[in-house]
Amino acid sequence: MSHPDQETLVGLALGDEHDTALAAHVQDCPDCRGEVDRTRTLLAGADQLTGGVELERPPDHVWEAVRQELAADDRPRPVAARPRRPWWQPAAAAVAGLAVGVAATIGVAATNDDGPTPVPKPDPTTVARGDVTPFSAGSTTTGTAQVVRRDGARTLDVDLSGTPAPRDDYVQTWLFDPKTNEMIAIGVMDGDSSSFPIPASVDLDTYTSVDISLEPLDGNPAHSATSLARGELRPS
Amino acid sequence: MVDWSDGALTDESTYAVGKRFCSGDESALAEAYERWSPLVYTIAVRATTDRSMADDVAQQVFVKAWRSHEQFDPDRRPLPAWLVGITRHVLADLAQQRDRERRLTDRLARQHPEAPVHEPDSVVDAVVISEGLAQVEQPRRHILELAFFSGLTHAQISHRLELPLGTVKSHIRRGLLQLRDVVEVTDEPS
Repeated sequence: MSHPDQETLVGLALGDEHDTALAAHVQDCPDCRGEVDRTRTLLAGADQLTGGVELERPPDHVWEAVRQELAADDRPRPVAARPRRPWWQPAAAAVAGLAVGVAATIGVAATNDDGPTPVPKPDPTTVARGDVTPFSAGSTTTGTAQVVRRDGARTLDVDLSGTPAPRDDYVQTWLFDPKTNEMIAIGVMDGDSSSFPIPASVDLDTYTSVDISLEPLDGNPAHSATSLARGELRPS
Repeated sequence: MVDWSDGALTDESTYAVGKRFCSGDESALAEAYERWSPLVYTIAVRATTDRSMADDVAQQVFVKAWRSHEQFDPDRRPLPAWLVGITRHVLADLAQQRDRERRLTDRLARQHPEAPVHEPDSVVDAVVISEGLAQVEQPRRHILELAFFSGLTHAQISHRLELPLGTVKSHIRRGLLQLRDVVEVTDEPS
């Protein structure tokens, strides 16, 4: 059977078509099924309507708040005015950046109150750490995650407890950006404690949080959506 | 695709405002707020059922929209459709956050999780459908309104309007296709 036209598929979504050959075709044809689903979604929205919607104007203070929030974007902020060493950067980069930092500081020195650039700490140094706590229902996984700098390279050291013994699954560590939920797979846990290299290209100012997931052995490399525990890394 | 060149949600000046908006003209933000903040706010009030939260949602939508004005492309969709898309994102984030907080509270209180169903998407769709109806021509609009609001069957509508049943059915089907396009253009990734 060739594809039915759009109007016929709308009729099917309305429950207004009773042709069995048509129903059988749609059952097997992903395109037509998608069409019917699109209309069903629309009908679900229309179901919420009990009459015309009377639009309502927001109170005046909302526009005031929008303007104020956006005006703050335009003001130069003290933090942005002086290039500071990001806390995750290796010491060598900080020293190289120092001359630039000093030159740029002169103009805004009066607004700065956050003190001199800290002396680089010796290796190995914990540059950030965070506790991970149970995230999904029923999880008892807790632990810590630390970003440690050794010889200029960063590793993520993870220590867990309360994780169930693996059966048809394994435990994986991810870094993620809580603003966008974008995830980077960092590595598979070997027991309760593992240490993983963090690629130099990963910006820990963006990927500020750690996710511990339970992954089924299904050959699918994407996140399973079962997060045993999560935590935020904070500079230390 | 629906012809967005006329109707209540858009008219030819919508494109012009969109053009100025994406080029960073601040007067276009004020104009966009003037024209479409009621659409955004009404969706927010219905989805959150909390006025102070709705204030906050409307504020976030316009702040986000302005901060990313360079990503808006007036040739891809009308500005109000894009604003509704941002409203969807803000409401989804809010629902997720509430959900997380509720799960935490449930765990702490060891209560059975209560599950108030929160489907911001169909609320958004409902408001957009209602606005989209205004741009459907007659008699199709009237037929759709009877189908949506009065609960009349197609046969009853045909009887009431003294139109052949086939004509009523065809108007409803074409009208739904038209509305579907209006709603979906607000739900594309930005």
